[in-house]
Formats: sequence, C-alpha cells, structure tokens
Amino acid sequence: MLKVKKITLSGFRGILKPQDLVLTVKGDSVPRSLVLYGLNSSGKTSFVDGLEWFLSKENRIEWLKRQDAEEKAYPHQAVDPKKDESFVELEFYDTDKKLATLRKTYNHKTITKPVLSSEDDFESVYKAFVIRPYLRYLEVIDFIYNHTGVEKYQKLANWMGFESEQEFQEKLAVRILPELKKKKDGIEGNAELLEGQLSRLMGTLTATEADVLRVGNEILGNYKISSHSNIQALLNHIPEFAKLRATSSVGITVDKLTQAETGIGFFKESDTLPDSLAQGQSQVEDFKKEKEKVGQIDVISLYDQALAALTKRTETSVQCPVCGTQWEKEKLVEHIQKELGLLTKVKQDKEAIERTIATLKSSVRLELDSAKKLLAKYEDAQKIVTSISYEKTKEYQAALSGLEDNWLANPLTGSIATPITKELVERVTKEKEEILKQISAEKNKIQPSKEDIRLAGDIEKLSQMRTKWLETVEQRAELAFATAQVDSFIALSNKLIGLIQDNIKARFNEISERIGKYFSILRNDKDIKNIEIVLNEEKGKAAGRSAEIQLHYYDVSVKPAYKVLSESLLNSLGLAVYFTCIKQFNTECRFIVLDDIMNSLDIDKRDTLLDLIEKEFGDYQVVLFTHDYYWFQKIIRRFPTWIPKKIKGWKYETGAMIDVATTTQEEIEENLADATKTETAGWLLERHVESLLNELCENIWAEIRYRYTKNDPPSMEELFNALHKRLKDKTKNHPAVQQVLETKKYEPILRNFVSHARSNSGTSVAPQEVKRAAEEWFKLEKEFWCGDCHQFVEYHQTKDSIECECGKKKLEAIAIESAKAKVAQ
Amino acid sequence: MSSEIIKKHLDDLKKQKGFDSDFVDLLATANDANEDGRDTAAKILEVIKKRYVESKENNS
Repeated sequence: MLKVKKITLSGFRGILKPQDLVLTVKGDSVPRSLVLYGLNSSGKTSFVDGLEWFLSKENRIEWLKRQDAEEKAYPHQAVDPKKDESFVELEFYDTDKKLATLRKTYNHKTITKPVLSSEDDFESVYKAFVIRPYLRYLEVIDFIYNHTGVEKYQKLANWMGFESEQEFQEKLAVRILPELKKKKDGIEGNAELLEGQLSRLMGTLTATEADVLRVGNEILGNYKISSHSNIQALLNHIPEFAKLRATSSVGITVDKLTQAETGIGFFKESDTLPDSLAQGQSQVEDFKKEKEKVGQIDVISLYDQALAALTKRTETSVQCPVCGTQWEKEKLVEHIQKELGLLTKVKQDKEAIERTIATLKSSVRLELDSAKKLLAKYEDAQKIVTSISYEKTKEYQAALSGLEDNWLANPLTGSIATPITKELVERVTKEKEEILKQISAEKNKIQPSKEDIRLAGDIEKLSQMRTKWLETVEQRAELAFATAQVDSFIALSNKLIGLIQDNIKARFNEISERIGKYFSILRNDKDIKNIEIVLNEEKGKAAGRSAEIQLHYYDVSVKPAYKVLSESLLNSLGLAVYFTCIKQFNTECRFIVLDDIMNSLDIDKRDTLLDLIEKEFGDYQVVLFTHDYYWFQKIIRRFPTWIPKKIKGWKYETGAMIDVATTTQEEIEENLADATKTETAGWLLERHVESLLNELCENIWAEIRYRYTKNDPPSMEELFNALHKRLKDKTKNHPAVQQVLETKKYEPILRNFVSHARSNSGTSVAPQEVKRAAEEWFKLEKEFWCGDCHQFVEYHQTKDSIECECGKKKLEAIAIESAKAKVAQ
Repeated sequence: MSSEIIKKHLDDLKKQKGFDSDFVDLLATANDANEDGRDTAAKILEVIKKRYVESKENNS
C-alpha cells in the first residue's frame, strides 16, 4: 500500500524556495490526511500542479496546455536555470518498502524531458496511480460531460485494465473487417464491370445467363444453326463457329479490324467524371481559404472546455484560456463560440474533402485503366489503318495520369495541368466515333462481301460474349466463395466480440453498483435510480466500443445521464464516478488530493462529501485544499486526526507560507493570552458564534426569520432566541436550554465585534469579558457536540428526537429535579 | 499488448464446433504478436485465396 509522507516543491510554479507539505506528525511515521486552508491565490494549486507533473508519464500539466504556457510555465519565474533547480519530490510510505523518495527535476535544456531520480521507480509510480489521485474543482464533471462515448470507453479501458481487449476490438472493427469488406467489394466491382461490358456488347439491359443464351442463339440462328437449350452447350459451340473465320488475307484483316472495333466499343467514357472533378476542385478551393484554421482543429476540445468553465465564472473581465487575450466575459463567450463554430466547420469540411478525394481517386483510376486499354486497341487498328490518329485520347490519358500523380495526391498544394473537362471527354468520344468510322470504311475499302463482314462481326461478338461470360461467372464464383469465407470470419469475430463485451459488461456492473452507492451518500435523491455504466450497443460506427452513463430519472431510463441532470446533480455524479474509480482502480495507492472541490457542491450538500470520505475512504490519506474558512473549521472538528494547516500568506520570493492551524477555540485562547490581541479574539469569537448559531438552528430546525438579502441576516439575538425556543419545545428542561440563556447574556459583548459595529463607539471590552463569553459559548457547544462521531446533534423527524449521527449524544427531555441537579453540577 | 482473456476465449472457440480453426489461429497469432490489423487481414485474405484456388482445382 502506498501513501505519501511529504511533498516538496522548489522553483516550481508559485514556489521559489523549497517548500514542504509534511503529511506526518511527530512520533508517528504513518502518513495522515491533511486539510490546508488558504485564500485564493495563496499557492495551494502549485502543490496540485506539482503533483500532476510528478505523476504524469507525459510530464504534462493538462490545464497549462494552452498556447504560450505549457512546459515553459512550470518553473518559478525567478528561477535562474544556471544556479537553481526546479523540482517536485515525494517521500512515499510504502508498506512493501519498494519506493522511498523520488524526485522529478525540470530540465531547462529539454523542457519536455525532466530528470528522474529513478526511471524504474517512476515507472512503478505511474503504474500504481491508475487514476490520477488529484481532483480539481473544474474537473469534477469532466468525465461525464466532456467526453464522447468512445472516449469514455477508452478511458474506462485504461482505468479498468481492459485496454488490450479494447485495442483488439478496435483492430477487428476498424482494420481487419474493413480490409475484408474492401476485398469483397473489389471482386463485386469487377463482376459488375464485366457484366456492364457484356450487356453493352449484347445490346441488352442485363447480362444474365438467359440474355447470353438468347442473344447467342439469335446470332447462330442467322446461320441456320439450331438453338442451344443451355448455356454450356452454347459456349461449347462458339469455338466451333469461330472456325468459320476467313483464312484469306482479306478475311484476316477484316477479323483484326472487327476485333479492334469490338474492343473500342467496350470503352465508355465517364459522363459524370468532369462534373465530379469540378465539384471536388471547387470544394478544395473553398477549403483553402480555411487552410490557416486547419492546424487549429486540435484545439476544438480546449475551446469546448473553456466555454463550459467560463459559464461558471462570475467576473466581468476574464482572460481567454486558449489564446490568453483579456476580454469582457460576454464578449469572450461570444469569441469562443465563434471560434468553436468556425473550427468545427473546418473539421467537418476537412473530413468531407477527404471523402470526396477518396471517391475521385478510385473513379480516375478506373477511367485511366480503360483509357489505356482503348489506346492499345487503337494501336492494333493503326497497324492496318495507318491514318488513324488518337491524339485526344492520348491527351485524355495524360490528363488523367497527371491528375492522379499531382492534384489527387495532394489536393491542397497540388495543381491541375490539364483539366478533365466535358469538352475534352466529348473530343475523346468524337475521336472514337471517327476511328470507328475509319475502321468501317477500311473494311468497305478492302471490299469483303457483306456476308464476310457480318460473319467476322458475329464471330467476334460471340467470342467476346463467351470470354466475358466466363470471366463474369468466374468473378461471381469468387465473390460467392469470398462472401461465404468472410461471413464465416465475421461469425467468429462476432462471437469473440460478444465474449469480450460480456466480460466488460460484468466489470461495468461492478463499478456501476459502487457509483450508485456513492451517489446516494452524496445525494439522497429518490428520483434518481439505477445509475449504470453501459456499453453503447446501438447500431452505429462505434457500437460495442463506446460507453455511457445511464440512469433512471422518475422511472424513465436516460442515456447519457447528463441530458436530465442539473449542474448540482452532475457535480455529485461526477464525484461519485471519480471516487468509485479511485476505490476500484487505485487499489495500491490510498492517496487523494481534493483541490477546492466542495465549491462544486451546494452548501447543504457539503457535509455529505465528508460523510462519503468518512464512510468509504476512512483508510485513505486525503489531502484537502480549501479557501473556505468555515468549511475548514468544520473539517478540523469532524476529523480530529487530520493534520490542520493554513497558508498564512504568499510572497513572490518564497511562495506559500504554511503554518500549523488550530481550531477556532485554540486560536481564540491563544489571542486572549496576549493582551494586545483581545480585539482579534473577540472578532474571531463573534464570527464563530454567528456561524455556529446558524448551523445549530438549521440542524434542529429552529424557526428563523427568512433572510431577504445579504445585508439583512438574522441578528445574533434572533438566533439565540430561535435556538432556545426550539430546544425548549423539544427537550423541555434539558440543561442545554438553560445554557443557551446563559450564553445569550454575552451577546452584547460579542456585538462589539461584528463587522458592522460602529468603529468610533468608544466601547472597549476587557479581555476577561471576552474570555468569559468564550467559556460560556464553548460550554454550550459541548452540549450539542458528539465526541464519538464528531458531529453536532440534529433533529430527526422520524424519531422526533435531537441526536447525533451515531446516536450517542441525545438531547432529551428530563425531569425537573434531575435538570436542577445537572445545572448545579 | 496481448490479452490473456482473448487468448482464453480463442482457445475455447477452437474447441467448439462451427468456427473456422484457421481463422481462430490467425486471430490468436494477431493477439499474441500484437500484430497490425492490416497484416492480419492480409493473412486472412491469403487463406481465402488459397482455399479458392484449391476448391477450383478440386472441382475441375
């Protein structure tokens, strides 16, 4: 088991001189939990930054990823790289005695590669802290809200240790299966191409077995050859029929010309390619205007987060967390929304361009292959008809080839030498028609008989039909075979994925149960039930490889959970998920740092966070930072074994000045011991009494006047009266009732120290009076405090009693004699 | 990174009837060697091609 004994920072973030955060007490080497109080900007976050950097394998502090910050912002600005070191050091408490003290030192020469005191030990630390053990206020709802289903799945895979299964699923889904499908599509495409050529050759709409048999029999019928009843008989007969081919030189020439003619006839220029290319080109030209933004696509998520964070800020003037410019808040929100909109559009445009180019590449490749075959046929014909010229087709082939090598290879920077225009395609078609005419004229010129010409044409047609049909049948057979094989592989793959998913679902169920438990401690909300992490199995790109949080809200299933939750509920759910992950995955490291996270909770829900820590993380070492003094004092009271510390101040030259903190009672007593600090003691006591009176009244449901405004709070006298009345109603003669009245007598003294007291009233209070007031107050506090569960009593409606959480402290009505005796004591 | 869970699943699938054992072996190798998906796909296609040639030979 791993805990931390000491965190030391030097020359890092806001801390210049070496500064220790000691997590042990004298005489006890076992680390303890700690609560550190410090005002905002007093240096607390430097420790969290240091810890994040120390535990990051990538040596990064995420929130400093913005431009012009990054690693350059890690060392203290006054650090002289030649003399001073910037480092973070952790002294571990390791029950296995493997890890002791480790130091990560900033490397000014290579700022992304710090110097590690031991590479191996750091590797062990990175492995041990599966979940980062620090949680900042702004990160509470990060997992739930700021990640897509696929990202959540990857994160869970990483935390829960099923990364290799997740990678394998990914491999099957995005690498193996698409490759198999591509191959299958390729075979299917070839079969379709052959069928197209065959149907053009036969002059039919389709190229079925029946079509081939019918057209073949029709041709043979012209020569008084009886029809064949099946395709195989027809195919067998065609070679026999071809033997009728003329053997004279004229006949051979006619045959060759006819073969060339048929081959040329197969070629069909693409009518749609020029338009598709023009559209693609214009799409790319438009996109080039957005080129500067392309490099910024990666910051989309940063802007998203900035926007989410910004909505929580109350200042009117803020700095853009992405570009660093100072803005009025509203204008900054507008600026970020605009940037986000632009970048999202650029990203979508970029993806659309990539899809268009991929389609164009495949169309151009097909057209180029056809053009090459056409040129070969022209060459054959030219050997007989020397006047045949096919410059346009050569130009077309060169243009397609140039397009493939240049613009299609690099659309953003490449250029188009010869555009594929409709005019060019028309010229190629015209040239083809011209050549076909020349071939036909040549056939007439050599004066074969009409019968010879028809016979040569029919032999060539039937021979080509036979070849194309056999090729088509071959392709169809290969396709059927490949489809069956791929389907068999898909069946195996589906079975395997199903087994992997069952395993992952079982693991999700395990953590879901805990999330639900923690959420119910944080929020006793009966309308939210069955919180689960579920696999997204709906059809879609990432089905089975994406996860989401689902819950039942008013008995209706909702996924993703954030669709219906208020910010406050989301915060509680975020905390429940985080604490679950810590408990579930950081099994070896019982150490958590919470940086001001209670700010994300409603005031009345903050106690529940302490309940969660107490009930479920009692054996964990918690380091809690807060800037809320009232909350700080509450934690000291609730967890007496925690180390209380406070930041007295912050100086540029040194950083945070950490001191031992005491309870308010001890602080008041300390000040009272010094005659010059009576005012301070009185002021502290007044604040303490006022806040605790509020808390006690709330706890026992005392009726208090509604507070209309911030400047109109109930007075101390009202609070004393309300507390007394409620206590008397419920406990009759309990000594606490009398003690309230005794303490109330000192209210006029305490009133001298309220912040709105007249400064020149001339009233001075003797130290003895403040001391007596303090004594009476703490006596009263004791009546309400349970030393076992470290909590004040509360009113329990179901039992109609005033008692503490553990039930050991109870304010009950007692008999008058007994009450008198108690008071006398 | 190879997965012990996947290895076990593939062992079980190999024992079951109804799944192509050559494909199971290929996936097992892909898992053990942390093979790139495209390489695995190429091997699968090679097996399919070889089987097709054999089936043609057997039918002729």
